[in-house]
Amino acid sequence: MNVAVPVPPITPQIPLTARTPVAFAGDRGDFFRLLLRGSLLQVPTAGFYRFWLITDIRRHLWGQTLIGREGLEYTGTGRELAIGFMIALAVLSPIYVVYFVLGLAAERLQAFASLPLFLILYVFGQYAAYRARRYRATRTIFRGVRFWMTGSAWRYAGKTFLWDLATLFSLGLALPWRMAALERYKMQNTRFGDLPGDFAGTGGALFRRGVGLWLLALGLPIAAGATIAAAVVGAAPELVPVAVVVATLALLGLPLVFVLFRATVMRWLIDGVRFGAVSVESGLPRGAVLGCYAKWATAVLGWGAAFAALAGAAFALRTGGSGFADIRAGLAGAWTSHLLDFAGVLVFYLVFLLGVGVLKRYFLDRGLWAAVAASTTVVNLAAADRVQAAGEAAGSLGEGLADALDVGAI
Amino acid sequence: MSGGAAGAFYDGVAARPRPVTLRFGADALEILEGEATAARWPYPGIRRLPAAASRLRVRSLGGPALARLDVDDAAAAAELLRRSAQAEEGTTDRRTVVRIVGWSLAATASLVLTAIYLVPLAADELAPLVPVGLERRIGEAVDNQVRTLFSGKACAGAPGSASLGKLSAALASRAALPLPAEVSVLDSGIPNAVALPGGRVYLFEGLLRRAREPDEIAGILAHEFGHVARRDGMRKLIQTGGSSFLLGLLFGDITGGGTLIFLGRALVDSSYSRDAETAADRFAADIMVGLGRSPRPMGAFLVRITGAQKDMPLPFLASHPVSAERLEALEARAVAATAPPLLTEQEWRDLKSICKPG
Repeated sequence: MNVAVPVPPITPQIPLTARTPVAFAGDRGDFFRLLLRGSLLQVPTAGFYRFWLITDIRRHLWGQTLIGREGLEYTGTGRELAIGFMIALAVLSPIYVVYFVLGLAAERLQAFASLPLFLILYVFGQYAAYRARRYRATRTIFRGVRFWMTGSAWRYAGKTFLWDLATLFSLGLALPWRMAALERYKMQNTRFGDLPGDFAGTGGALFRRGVGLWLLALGLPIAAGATIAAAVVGAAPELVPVAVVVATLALLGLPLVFVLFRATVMRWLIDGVRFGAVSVESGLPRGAVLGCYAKWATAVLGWGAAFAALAGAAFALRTGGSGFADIRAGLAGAWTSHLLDFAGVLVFYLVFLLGVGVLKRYFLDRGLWAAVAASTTVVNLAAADRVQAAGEAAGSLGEGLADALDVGAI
Repeated sequence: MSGGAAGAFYDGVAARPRPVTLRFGADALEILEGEATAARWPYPGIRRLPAAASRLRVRSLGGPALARLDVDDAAAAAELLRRSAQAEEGTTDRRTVVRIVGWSLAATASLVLTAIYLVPLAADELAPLVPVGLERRIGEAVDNQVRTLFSGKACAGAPGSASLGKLSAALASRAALPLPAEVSVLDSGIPNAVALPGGRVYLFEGLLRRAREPDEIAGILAHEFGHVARRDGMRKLIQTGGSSFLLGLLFGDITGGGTLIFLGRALVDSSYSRDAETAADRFAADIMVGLGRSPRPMGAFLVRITGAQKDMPLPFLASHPVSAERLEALEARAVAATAPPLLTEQEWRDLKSICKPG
């Protein structure tokens, strides 16, 4: 027996300007439980469980993101990430040794001359970031077709380095054009099946949206420095309250400027995404991003305060228990008891760090992801109907390198 | 053969969603597009994938890797899951987690034990094999860093330098060093002294300022000569490099900058340097006794400058063994002085003012 139930139209014949809203349907509780479990498992595994935690996070975020009624899918595995990390260690270990020896040789010439050698690892980090993006792209599935990437990670690393120099020497003025150039390189090398990607955002547009923030980022510290200098060097005590107010404003204002800039950039990045005739629009409100950061900051402060109280109590209990009188006797040989103390401190510290990590992933990674999804619209999705599958799943070395060099994304 | 239900089928080749109906066959799910069979998925190969709450998304192990079926009808989804007994396999299940935890614990134990026991052993064996020329070159690199960190000016007041030379020569005559020690005073208020790889020894002015008699400084210098003789600087370099590398492997940051690595290394290093310090103390006591002077003032001096260490909350993190212990060891070697002081009153005053201009 074959009962035909009326099929809901998924992508009917629609005009080219049809707008498909994006939504994030993830449950907060599910995500929090997933984070808590994965984070706790990092304690007995010395952090090694992170590959499976990251995978679970991505499966959740991708899987709960709906374009119209159709969901994204993440097909990466924790095992792939762990293998990528092992290979990264094998690649980085000799580099680390060479770096150490070069450092010694350079130090002989001039103290701390080895610092520029950090540049090598920095460029390597950009290479890793590109390859990690390629891994994530090829593990992203939509409508049974994978995204994938061409392009050269070394070329990207070189571009990044040159643009960063330009940004540095222009006091940040070149930043919008740096971002546009790098995003263009990434997106023009990204494909959905046989549909090529592109990036339509321009440096000029980002500059116009962000120049006010740039002025604030430069102006606030300069104003604070100037008033403090006037009050202290100029010996003008009547200026001290003014200096205090301006410095406080700068201190509170700079993180705010950073968050607003981040919001501006995110919206601009999403807005510029193109795949063939499919385009993406973002209405990401700055307030939504600001809200995520505000909740995160509040939660971290709360966690810090709670943890400080807990750690203080534990420490008082420990030293109160043994007493200072017998510390000298204890010092003579109780190496193992110190070892236990040390293990205690380590576990405490780990728990604190893990808590901070959970809050960051919950409020920033998930929060921002949901805010971006909710404010995104895909225009002319029907243009993707004719796409044919193409591209292969890329290796996870990039993710491993990014993890080892600490340049990873979500 | 029960009823059919609607779903969206993606064949993994074209990105077009295909509206389909489902027919539950005896041993396989039949995915029908109109009257034609789009795919036939045996139940044992069907796996569930993460999707939005009200939707069941599955794939088939045998078919194209990216072919997907989305089922929104709750009854059909339940029926499909009922028939596909292994649908939930392949996610991070309990057995995988236990395996990950077990292997991680084993790897951690192996790396930590290697860092604590094997790396010092390797350092002991390797340090004597490093050619003196290479050690001197490494020493120069470390020297540059030390000078940069501690203001860097070496004091060279002429009469003071003569006193220092006399004292060093007297100690060196008894020390049988593998490479000549070069002693100088650094203009820094910190009460400390260091021996670098390559035989360079620095006394910090803060130590001279707090000393009350030549035997105190002589003992400290003899202690540093002990480090030079045993090539502890080189050993420590190998040992620190090795242990930070291993702990870096463990925590996944191979440049070794993380706080956890710092804490872990401090623990491993301190356990190792306690032995090195005790040995250097013994060396110093031998020299002092050989010169006819008592090692006791050096012990008293150590207690005077590091007495506060007793109140440290985490004494095991201190790289130098606690002074009271060292005092007892030096106390045991105390003898009555059989030779005149190593410096005259005038020479001692000159040495103490080596950093004062003019």
